[in-house]
Amino acid sequence: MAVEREAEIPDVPAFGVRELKRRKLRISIPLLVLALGSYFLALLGFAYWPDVMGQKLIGAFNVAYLVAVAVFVITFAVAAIHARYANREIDPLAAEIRKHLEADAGVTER
Amino acid sequence: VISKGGAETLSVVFFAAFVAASLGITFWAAKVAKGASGFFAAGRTLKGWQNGLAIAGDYMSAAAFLGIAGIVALSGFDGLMYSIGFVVAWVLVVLVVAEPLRNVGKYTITDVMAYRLRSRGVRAAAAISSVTIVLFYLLAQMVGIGAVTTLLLPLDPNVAIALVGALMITYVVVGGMVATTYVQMVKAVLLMASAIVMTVLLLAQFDFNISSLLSSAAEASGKGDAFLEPGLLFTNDLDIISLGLGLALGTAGLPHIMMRFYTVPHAAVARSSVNWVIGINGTFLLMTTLLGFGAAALVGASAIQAANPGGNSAAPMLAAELGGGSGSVGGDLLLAFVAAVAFATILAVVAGLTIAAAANISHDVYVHFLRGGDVDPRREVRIAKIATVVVGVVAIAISLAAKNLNVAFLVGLAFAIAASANLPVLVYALFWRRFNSAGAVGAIAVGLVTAVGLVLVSPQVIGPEGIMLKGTEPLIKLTNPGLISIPAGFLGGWLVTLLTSREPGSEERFDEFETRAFSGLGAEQAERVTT
Repeated sequence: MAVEREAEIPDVPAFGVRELKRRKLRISIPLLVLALGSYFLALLGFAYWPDVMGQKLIGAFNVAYLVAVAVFVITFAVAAIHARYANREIDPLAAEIRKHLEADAGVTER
Repeated sequence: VISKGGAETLSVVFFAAFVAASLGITFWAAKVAKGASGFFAAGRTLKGWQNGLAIAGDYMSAAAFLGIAGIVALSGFDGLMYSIGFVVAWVLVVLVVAEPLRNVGKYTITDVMAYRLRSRGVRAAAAISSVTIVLFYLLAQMVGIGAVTTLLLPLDPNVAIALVGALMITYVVVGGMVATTYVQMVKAVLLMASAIVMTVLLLAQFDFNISSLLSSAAEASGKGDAFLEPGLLFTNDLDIISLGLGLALGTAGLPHIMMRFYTVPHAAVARSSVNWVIGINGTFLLMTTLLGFGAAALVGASAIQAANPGGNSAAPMLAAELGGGSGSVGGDLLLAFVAAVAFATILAVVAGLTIAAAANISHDVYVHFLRGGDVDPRREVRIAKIATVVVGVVAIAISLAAKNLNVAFLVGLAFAIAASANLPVLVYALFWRRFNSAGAVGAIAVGLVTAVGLVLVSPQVIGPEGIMLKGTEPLIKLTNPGLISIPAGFLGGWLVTLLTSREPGSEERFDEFETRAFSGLGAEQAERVTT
């Protein structure tokens, strides 16, 4: 059934919300900088350092191909690290905050 | 048509089987998808892997499958620019956008943009940018049908466009998001299966030595080592940066993709859906680039271009080759399968786009902009169905008229608008207390107008390589507007906010918004499944 969207939320300046936000940003910002940063470095490399990119490494593999694969690997790693951290450090706290605020507002857990 | 005789008949059989199965799903879905949240959000009951598959099916267009393989086959390494952009983009989605979106919104990306800023102007502006993005994306897919049909199916291109249009309208009107989801999931499985089979067969020919595949491709291309290095396709260095920015930042602002996060029960499942997408989509993109090099090595650029100058023929022709050669049973079978899958791909993508446009028109424009939010859910669904038919018919009509134009650039433009108009508003709404309605409208207006304006004067539209005014020179060299329009959108939103008066309502709601966005308090609940 449809849930009332405008359920009253008590003015709790921050039972833990601040901490929740801090944890979110603590993991998201470094991972975002890592992934997007390495991606834009890769683009700059492709555009402006063709000589470096064309260096052969093993067989037909050159630096450009290694950089492209590295972007994939970084993306996979970022997703895995974030998932692990969020499951342990963020979701339980978010659930606790929800429970508190819902109890305060008289909203029953569905 | 590159398939002849047996392959031609087989591809029609495969395609007809997909259409029959998808229609079966659609009429079953009509019974399951109850109410507005059933229609727009599949009842919010999907599991992470299901939504992940559906998002992958929504995102991996024919352009990604046929296009990337073709670009790699003809221009070598530069095709990988698209692959890495399409995978890294999901980092922004999972780290910043997906969970708050699920926590705060109801049916559309606009819900999050407009939550603090309860002005109708923001709803209208956000709906305009989202509908523009979706329409451009839709037209790129549907106009492309003509080229793919001539290549793969014994169908008149006009008939193919009308057929795809009619099917997408049927999926959405009859089965809503449930049907759309299942069509996308089935398509994703078929597409992955064909890519996996082809990749294994390809690598087997090279003793599973990728290095020797790459050197054969470089040798066959006649361009030597340059084929394995950047620079054959993108000759203007800024184009690489600009396209890359648009792809990596635009995904988080695509209305049809973001809408899919409302189909899961809560934010943690939204997160796990993205992780599934990264796995599925990343593997797929790695395979398509290998297939591109394989086509260069085994089919050869001249044969590929003889069938289709843009290279869309690379993957299907490689399929015939890997199956045992054109005319052999294996070759015909694999070619027919890949051809049918390419069509299924288009169908799944256009259905996702159409339901997104319908949701923007009904939920944002009709319910919130025109009626101030107070509308019976049954009416909301009815308006969405009418919008589906209108959008579908308009898309069919424009595609029939424009079927001979090369409008593939519209996909890049859609990504650029998403990054320039939608993303700034999402980011400011989430993280900037001072942000106000004027700033939101400003960001959208500046981002949208800059992106579209720059493309209108670019080589893609005017000049010898464009679609009109072939005698004139394009005003700018940049083919993708992202490099200019994305900063412009962010700057526009920032400046307009600071130059206009504070909006107490928006700032007061910031704490509540944050609480909801991060904790999931008061988020829309999943329908209880009653079976």
